[in-house]
Amino acid sequence: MHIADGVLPTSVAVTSYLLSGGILAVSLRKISSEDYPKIALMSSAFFVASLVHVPLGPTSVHLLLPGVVGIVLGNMSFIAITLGLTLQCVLFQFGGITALGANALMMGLPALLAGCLFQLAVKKISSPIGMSVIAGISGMLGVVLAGIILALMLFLSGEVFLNIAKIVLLAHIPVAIIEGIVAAAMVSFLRKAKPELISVKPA
Amino acid sequence: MKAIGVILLFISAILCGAISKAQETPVGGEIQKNGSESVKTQTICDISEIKEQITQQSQEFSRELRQIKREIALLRQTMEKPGIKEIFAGIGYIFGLCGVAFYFSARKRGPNSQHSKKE
Repeated sequence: MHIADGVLPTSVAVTSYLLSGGILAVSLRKISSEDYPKIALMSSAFFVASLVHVPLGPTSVHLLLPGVVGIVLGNMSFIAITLGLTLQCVLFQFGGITALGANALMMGLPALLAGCLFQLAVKKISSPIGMSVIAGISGMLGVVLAGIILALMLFLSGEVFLNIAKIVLLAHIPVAIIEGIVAAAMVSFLRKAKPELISVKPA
Repeated sequence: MKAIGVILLFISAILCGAISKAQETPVGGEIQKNGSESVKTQTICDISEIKEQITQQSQEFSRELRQIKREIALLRQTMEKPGIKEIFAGIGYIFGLCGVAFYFSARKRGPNSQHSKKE
């Protein structure tokens, strides 16, 4: 789902670089040194997750994990995702380097929003099943949002928005379902094992 | 008398041989002409056979080439896939950066600060 080199026009690429650079700078101010291991862990998880391919007909899509990263890291998820994306781009040319800003926006914003959604909802619902359900929904929403942002970017580079949006979202429905399940399972496990990791009061 | 007879015989034998040889060539030429025509038809048959063989061979070659091209494309795909080395490289890089960040934050905190122990 990463955008490759040469797809986006220069204006879109530069704008998304500036935007993601801005969000990155803002996020970097808020982190403290205790969060570094969490960020490193989530970044590695995101980095490796794109190698898990879900075959879908002729092509295959891959796991994205914006929901999981957002739930665990919250406001700091943008850093983890940008780091993971940069390494993916440099090490195995997954996504072009000119599209790095756009890819960061595409994956980072859904992670931030999923994290926000989870935090907001968890304040009201604190039953274990409810939390897992919310986590599942955030996971799925993360993938759907990423797809929408991808379709938007492609639309800005000249394709027909609705067609691309349809294709992308259809192709990522299995991914969304899997990620929802993964996020829900992770939250239900972390709630008992280490609630501080998802900033939930210990049950 | 006998000698003259023998000589005459000899000469006539030679003449006969020469005449028959001289006669041979037109006859031989005809045979040769017929032969060349049949050789021509034979060579024409040969040429069409050879053409068939060549087209057959080129078809086989193109089939094999297609197979080889397919294998090359598959090989290129598998080569591009990130292997376990790249995964370890990425994870190592991330944790290395984390370590560097820890180093700088520890420097900022100064040499006398200590982590508060949980009682």
